[in-house]
Amino acid sequence: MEGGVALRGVGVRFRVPRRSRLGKVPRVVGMRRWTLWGLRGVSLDVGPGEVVGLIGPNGAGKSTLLRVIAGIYVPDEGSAEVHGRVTPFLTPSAGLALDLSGWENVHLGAVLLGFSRAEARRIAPRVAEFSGLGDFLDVPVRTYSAGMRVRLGFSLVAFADPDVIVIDEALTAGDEEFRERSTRRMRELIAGGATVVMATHNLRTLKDLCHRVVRLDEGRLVEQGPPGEVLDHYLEDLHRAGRQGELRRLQGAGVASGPPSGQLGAGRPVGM
Amino acid sequence: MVMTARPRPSTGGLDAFAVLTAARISQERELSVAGVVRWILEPLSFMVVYAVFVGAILEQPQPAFPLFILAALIPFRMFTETINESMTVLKGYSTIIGNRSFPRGILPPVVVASNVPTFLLSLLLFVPFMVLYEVPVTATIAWLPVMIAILLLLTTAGTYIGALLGLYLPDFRGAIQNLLRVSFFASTGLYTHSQIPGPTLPDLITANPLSSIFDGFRTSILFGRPPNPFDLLYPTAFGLVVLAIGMTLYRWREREFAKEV
Repeated sequence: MEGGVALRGVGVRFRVPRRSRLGKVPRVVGMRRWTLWGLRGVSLDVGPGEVVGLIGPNGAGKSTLLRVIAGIYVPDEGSAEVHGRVTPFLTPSAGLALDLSGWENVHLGAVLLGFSRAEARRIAPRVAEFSGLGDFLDVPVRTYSAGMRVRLGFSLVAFADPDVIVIDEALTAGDEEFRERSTRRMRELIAGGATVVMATHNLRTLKDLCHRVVRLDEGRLVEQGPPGEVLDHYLEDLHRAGRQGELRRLQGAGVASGPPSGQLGAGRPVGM
Repeated sequence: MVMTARPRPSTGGLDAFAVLTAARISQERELSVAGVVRWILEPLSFMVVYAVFVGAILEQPQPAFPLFILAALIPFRMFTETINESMTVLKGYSTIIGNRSFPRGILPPVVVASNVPTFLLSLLLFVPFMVLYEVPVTATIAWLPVMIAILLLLTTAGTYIGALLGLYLPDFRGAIQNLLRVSFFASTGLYTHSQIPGPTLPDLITANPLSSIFDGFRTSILFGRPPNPFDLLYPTAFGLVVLAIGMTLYRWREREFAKEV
């Protein structure tokens, strides 16, 4: 079943180096490291063509979950099964080799996404045209602004014939015109049956695009359901817990102002 | 229950290997004029230094001593330069490793392959010195590709270990580079077996697989003889064992690379 995602009891462990107050502790294998669980016991099914949003505070495990789905992190516990071509778009510089030119990155990126070299050559002109980078494709990517890197990275994802798209906030760095164009392209891909899993703090995007929202906290899945319902609960909890910083950030997106409860209304699947 | 079920890898690996190698050649400017000059000048400058100090001062009896040294310096440069680069390969590709699912096992061979074109070009340095010292080209030069293949096997084996050491023990990178330099002096790079004194030292020098590589290059280019069977078999066996160990360790840690870089 192309585009399906099945996670069973997924746990991802990180070993992070400890630093003493005296400065950097000598790095010796196996010593002075803490073990942290980025995810623990997460089970999630995403059906083909479904659009699922991830919400939660920083450190909740959203990016880790996306990297598991993208096959970048292998679960330390449980299992992850993803059917079809996965195209991740996780950071503005996602998968870009900064010393290579835009063109070289298009070819490299396409091959790393699973295309043959011949297929990569075939899609390259479409990627280039969508990015709108023109002659800048001939210069090294390290000279690009963050917005230009987003253009290149997303254009690659947009034309990679994806079964599953995994996106982590990265689109917020583009300019207004490109954001609109990329949102249109996303809608086309969703209408074409692509499965999407996205993490964003933009509640409007979650509400407009997602069929379901999954809420994570401290590496665990705490709630999932229709976007309006889950987002309402999330905002209420933030308000109750006095997490004003998080609320302000959401308000900054122009979505959540005033008392949170009931503001967003019921979630609805996107009709394309 | 711990499982390692992995989402489908996004590429079979061969195309990724080819594209990454081409990208690395372009990125490191290996095939630019500067890149080729760098690869030729370095062994040449070392050759001059060794020819003067070791050859003239210590009165080396070898008739074509500069060529004798060059037959060691060129393969040694390939070996040491590639392993040095392998120590930074995982960090160097951190944006790709952290954002794409692809077989990470291709990265050490990519470092080797990207150095091969300039290494092959640097072999042309033999030509003027063979003319200068009137060394005839014989049929035994056909053994050179075999020696090159053994060198690449040994180098590839070293890159898997080098990549892991560079990631997990970055503070020891300098010490490892020194160890590589020592491996040249603890070989037949500057002298023949017969010139090494003592009962134990010759055995130690022979145990260094680089000695066999250097001797194999010399016999096929300089002496017009086929390489000694020991010089073919020993470094091959040594390379295969190190490759098996290196690949096993690499595969064991591979799943953690995206978290570590």
